[in-house]
Amino acid sequence: MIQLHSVSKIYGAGAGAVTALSDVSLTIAENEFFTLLGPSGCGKTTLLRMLAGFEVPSRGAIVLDGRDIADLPPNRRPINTVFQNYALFPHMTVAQNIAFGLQSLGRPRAAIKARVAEMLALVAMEHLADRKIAAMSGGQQQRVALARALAPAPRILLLDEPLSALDLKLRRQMQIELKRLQAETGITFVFVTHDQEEALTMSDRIAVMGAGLLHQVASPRDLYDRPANRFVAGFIGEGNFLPVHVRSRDGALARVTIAGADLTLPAETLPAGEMQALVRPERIVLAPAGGTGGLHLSGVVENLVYIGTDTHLHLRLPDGAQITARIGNGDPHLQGLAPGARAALAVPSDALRLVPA
Amino acid sequence: MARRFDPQTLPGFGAIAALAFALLYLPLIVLVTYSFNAGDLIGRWEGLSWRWYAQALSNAAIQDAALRSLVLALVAAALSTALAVLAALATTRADQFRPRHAIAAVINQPLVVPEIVMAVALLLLFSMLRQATGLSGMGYLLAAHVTFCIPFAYLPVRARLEGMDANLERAAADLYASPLTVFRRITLPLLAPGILAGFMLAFVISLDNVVISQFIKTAGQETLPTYMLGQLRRGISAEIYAVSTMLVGLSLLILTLSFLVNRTRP
Ligand SMILES: Nc1ncnc2c1ncn2[C@@H]1O[C@H](COP(=O)(O)OP(=O)(O)OP(=O)(O)O)[C@@H](O)[C@H]1O
Ligand SMILES: [Mg+2]
Repeated sequence: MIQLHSVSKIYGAGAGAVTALSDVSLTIAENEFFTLLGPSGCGKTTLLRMLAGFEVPSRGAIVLDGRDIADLPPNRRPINTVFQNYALFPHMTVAQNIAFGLQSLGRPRAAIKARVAEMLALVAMEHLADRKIAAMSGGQQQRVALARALAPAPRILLLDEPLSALDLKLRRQMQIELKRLQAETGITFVFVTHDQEEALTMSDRIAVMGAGLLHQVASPRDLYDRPANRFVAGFIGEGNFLPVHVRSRDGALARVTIAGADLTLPAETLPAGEMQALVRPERIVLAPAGGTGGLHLSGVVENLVYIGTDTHLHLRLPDGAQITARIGNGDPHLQGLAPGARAALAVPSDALRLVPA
Repeated sequence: MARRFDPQTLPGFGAIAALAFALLYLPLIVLVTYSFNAGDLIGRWEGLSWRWYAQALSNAAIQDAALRSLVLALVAAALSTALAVLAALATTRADQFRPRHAIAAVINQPLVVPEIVMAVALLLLFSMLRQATGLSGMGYLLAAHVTFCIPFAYLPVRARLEGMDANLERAAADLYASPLTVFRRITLPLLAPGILAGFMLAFVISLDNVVISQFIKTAGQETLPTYMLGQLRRGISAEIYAVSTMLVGLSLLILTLSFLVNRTRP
């Protein structure tokens, strides 16, 4: 288990100082596939570099097994890294690259040989053991980098956008491969990506970051269904955000107006302060106008975009806001709809998620 | 269609190029040719001969000066390269080394300060040192050579370091290598071509130097270039042509090697 306690990182000093991370606290469990997700520049690499030991936190502690390792140099941490550009040693062969960590640890020669063979088998590279690094494709280099970092059996493996240089097909394949390696080795993976789909498919838990702040740490399902705030809701998946006006709260119930429609909701679902309603496009249905229960919205169809199994319907509401619904192509209400026509949409109450603005 | 500007299409390009090459190489060609002259008069060709080479190689004064020059160049190149590697590491790798560019400029000082000024300055400093310490010997000449060789050794090493991915060293440290092991197993092998190129460049520069050596040397410290200068003052001898030709050959060989070595990319 590794823990960050109120870790901040400030690069530079004085007027040119950049706060890359502010006050991040989180716990990564043993044997977990943990992902750091966030837009470019939000501090993911910075966080990873502090875990690896390439950077020292400006404030806060990094605790591994009850010991603060924040000031420990990289060579004295049981943590290995797969670099974004792989950083394989160009003057060594594949096998020599994989053996490097074990040699530094002073393992006996025979043990190193056996472990290298085991690692080569793990990433299906036995036939390339004596190749020089320059003579290998991106995907092969990726595997060598993985084998090299896994060979010393670290407690934690750090991966900084390891798939971003690969084409889509190889990327998909490596996503599955990484999941398999994590399960087989039982090593904690801390994986960095700015691709939310990749994060959702691979992770046990995801930390969503934005501009140096940690917004939420949760399982993929919880992030999608129960985002902690507007930032997380907007970053994970597609979403419509509707303005919310709270008219009254009495006891367990609250009366609210969402996009001009009146609604009564359990008060406990309302966050404090300003809020917006998140509606996922796939939770919206086409319905006859004036139904009861949930949220009913009607407006003018702006656009219909056929995307195979579904159609994206863009509806302009009377107050000028636009809402996107994802309607199954089998839906009979879809027949005869065209841009300019009026249409009515319904959102079940349980599909409304009120998030702090 | 707009054509890209190509200087080769300008009138007179060929003639100017030929003139430039003639200026560069004609003196060398004349020198090399007359070093094989059987006669000893300038400008009169009397047939091909190794005569001057044989004479030069058996001349004890030349042997002595040549040996001194070679040893001086080797030691100066080795010392200046070692210092240059340290300087290059400090100015490219160490983050806390703040004014890196200013420091790099200071290291390259010998490229900027006129050599004659440097020579006078060294002469002044060294005579003060001699008086203060009473020490004499080759150390002064060596120190002077190391000084002006440093930038020549520094530049190829730094270029190599800058072209090297700093993540390689991080990866090695991440894989439990101590800083010393990182240097020995990663930095040094990848830097080797730059170090070799820097060493050879420094060697040639030292071998070649006349102005500073002339000022700093004391009796019995003749280097090959200062010996040649002394001989030429007395009267031109074809023996000196032979020595010059051998020097050109050696420099050419070493520079070619250094170029070839440094061509392998990091
Ligand atoms: N060595 C540094 N010196 C100064 N500022 C830095 C340094 N490294 C990173 N930063 C700044 O810190 C912030 C966070 O950078 P970081 O590299 O951690 O982002 P990231 O989330 O990994 O982004 P990306 O997805 O683009 O890789 C950025 O504003 C960046 O400009
Ligand atoms: Mg990054």
